[in-house]
Amino acid sequence: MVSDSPTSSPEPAPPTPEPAPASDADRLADDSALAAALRRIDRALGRLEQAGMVLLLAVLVVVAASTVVIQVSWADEAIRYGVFAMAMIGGAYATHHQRLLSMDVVSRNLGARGRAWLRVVLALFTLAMTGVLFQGGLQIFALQGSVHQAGKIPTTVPALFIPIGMALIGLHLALQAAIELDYLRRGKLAPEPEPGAA
Amino acid sequence: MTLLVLGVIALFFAGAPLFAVMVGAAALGALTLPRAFSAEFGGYMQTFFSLGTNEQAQIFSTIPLFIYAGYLMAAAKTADRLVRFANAILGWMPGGLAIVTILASAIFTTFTGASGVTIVALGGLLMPALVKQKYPERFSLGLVAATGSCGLLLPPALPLFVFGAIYGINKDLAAKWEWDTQRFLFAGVVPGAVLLGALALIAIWVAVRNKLPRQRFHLGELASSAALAAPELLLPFGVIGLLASGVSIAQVAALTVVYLVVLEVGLFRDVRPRALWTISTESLALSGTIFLVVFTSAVFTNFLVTAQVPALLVEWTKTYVDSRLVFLLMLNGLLLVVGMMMDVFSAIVIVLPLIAGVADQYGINPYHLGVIFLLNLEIGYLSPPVGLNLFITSFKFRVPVIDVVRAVIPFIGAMIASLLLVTYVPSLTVVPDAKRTGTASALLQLVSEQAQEVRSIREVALLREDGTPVLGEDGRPVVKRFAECAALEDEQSRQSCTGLFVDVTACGERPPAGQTAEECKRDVVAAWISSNLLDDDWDLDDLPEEPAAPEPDDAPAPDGDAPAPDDDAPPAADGAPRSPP
Repeated sequence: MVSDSPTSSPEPAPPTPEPAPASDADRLADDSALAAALRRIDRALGRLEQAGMVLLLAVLVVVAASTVVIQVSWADEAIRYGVFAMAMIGGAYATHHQRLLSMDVVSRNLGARGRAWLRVVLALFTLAMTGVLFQGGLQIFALQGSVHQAGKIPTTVPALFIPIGMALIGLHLALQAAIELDYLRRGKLAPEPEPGAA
Repeated sequence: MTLLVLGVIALFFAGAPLFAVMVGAAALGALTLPRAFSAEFGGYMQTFFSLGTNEQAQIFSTIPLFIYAGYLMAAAKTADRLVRFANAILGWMPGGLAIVTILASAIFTTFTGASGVTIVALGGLLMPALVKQKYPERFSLGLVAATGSCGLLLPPALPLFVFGAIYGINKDLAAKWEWDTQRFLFAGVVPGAVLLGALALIAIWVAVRNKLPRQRFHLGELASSAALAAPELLLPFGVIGLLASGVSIAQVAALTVVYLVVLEVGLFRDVRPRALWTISTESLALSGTIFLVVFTSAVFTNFLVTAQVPALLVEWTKTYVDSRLVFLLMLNGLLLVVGMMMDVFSAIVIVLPLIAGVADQYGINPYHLGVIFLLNLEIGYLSPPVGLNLFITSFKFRVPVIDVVRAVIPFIGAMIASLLLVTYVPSLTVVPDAKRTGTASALLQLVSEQAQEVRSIREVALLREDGTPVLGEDGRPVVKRFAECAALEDEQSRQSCTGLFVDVTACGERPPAGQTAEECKRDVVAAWISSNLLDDDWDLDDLPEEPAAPEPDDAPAPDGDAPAPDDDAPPAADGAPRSPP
């Protein structure tokens, strides 16, 4: 619940300018060809995830609302599994927007370059943990077995969304870390994510 | 290992995503436990998957649906209509507009959940109006900041659902207290009203003391504003009414979205159809981040339970705190600090699993605990030095944070008074009778099925008929864990292994005539050992060859027709003898 509004602090030479607030226009302004390409992939993935989630949300609304008047045997499972799929894709979508819940009491005391390096370290750590969840997700998927009951949605369907979601999260993190590193390599600073913005 | 643990803690404070920190902690913990990492962490992942897909997972459909509904209302002119109506009905009272601010913010927050949204959406409208009506500026600022989180106890506020889901992970406690999230939604109504009442008293006192002019009452204005606000004003009541009449939470949430889309896009035309996509950007990102934290909390909680951390906390607390009243005071202190440091969802998923067991030891009803928990977090949002609402108010109205801090002090006082009242008068936490909410027979059936699941014993020590323990390769008694069984790859082995827990649970609930529950459990375990030791590969790894395992000839036939070792062998949960693999 700590506000992480950027604060200025003395920076060792050579002085580095404070990054401008991120907006679609100026994000691309300082991008190298590599960073721009990576950002395009990140955004394309984000749009796909948003479309998938909106579709799932619409299906969820229609199915859940219609069960008030029509009883469908698979409706309950469809709702539960649909929400689970939304959760996994939603995690990736939140990662794309850098909106993951966290507690930040360190970065406000760092300079702009320090914050950039910290973002890289945190992305790599999160990437590693996503890998652990990805592996666990594959294990869960394999455990679901092949016995399906008639009229039931196989549990392999929701189980598949754990590795899919984790792979997407990992991809976003890798892309964001690569963009950040590209900026640092060029002696520049990538635009900082706006707190709370999506 | 110590360095790795310290590293994870450091990353947590450095701003690593909470879900990654929880997974990191659980993974490191799994490495330190005796079982292989894949088996231990596989069990955690099973809980992760089960939380998201079991019969109770319908509750999670409320997260994206209510968040979307909240953002839809924020994008429309709902705030204007609510304020106009509230002003027409209460503006004539001393402190009328201030009370309007309190009520409108509370209603708005029940849908938006995230309190910052309320301050931004309603504050911009109400702050100038309060100043215009000659309310002191500092009071107005404090009021807008304080009311930004005051609806979190009222249904259908999202933290209520998240608290319900996380508490439900601990199946033993959930079964003991007959936990039901749908009932919990109502637990905060009276405490929420107490809180709003305390804030309203301050508003009235300020208005009287400053001799603020009252607004004249106009019946015509009341009628016209009521007609405009009614469709949105009645929404919380509609939600509560539907829930109370037995409509499922998922259905209510879906109907809410349909209703609001028809209302805001079709009727009021405040929102263009294309804006529905834009609204999804913000709301789905928030849903995703909450989901990620909630589901990975199952991994973290499972680790904590396996490592017996809550049990150690219970032990420690019982050593140093012997009074329930003192414990409640300490709990409030702890939660206030947590509320200052973390957002409401992070606080629930991290702190609740740790304190739920401790609170249980002091006989604190979880419905009461939930209300205390959320009320503390509401106050934490407002508490200096790092309460989020202080910063949002400062940012929104361009005033120094220190001014906002000074402005909110009287409101914090009123909130703490309400907190103490709610804490030490548990009867204020009113929960409806379980039977009343479940008018549909489906609900009863669900409760029955879930009760069977949650009452299941999670660990069974393998003892032979003579009471001697079966020893593992390390010479220690073998203990079977449910999570371990549920993670078995082979379906037959999994069914057989989990069947042991079903049968042992059935013994505790319905021991056969002429047997005590303990005798029944002993026989079930002995029969299971003789049926399963030799033909399950996973079991052979655990067991030495020397202990007197039954001869293959003694094992029951695969068709399950072989008689149990004892004629009085207990029935399985379904009343039929359980077949060995």
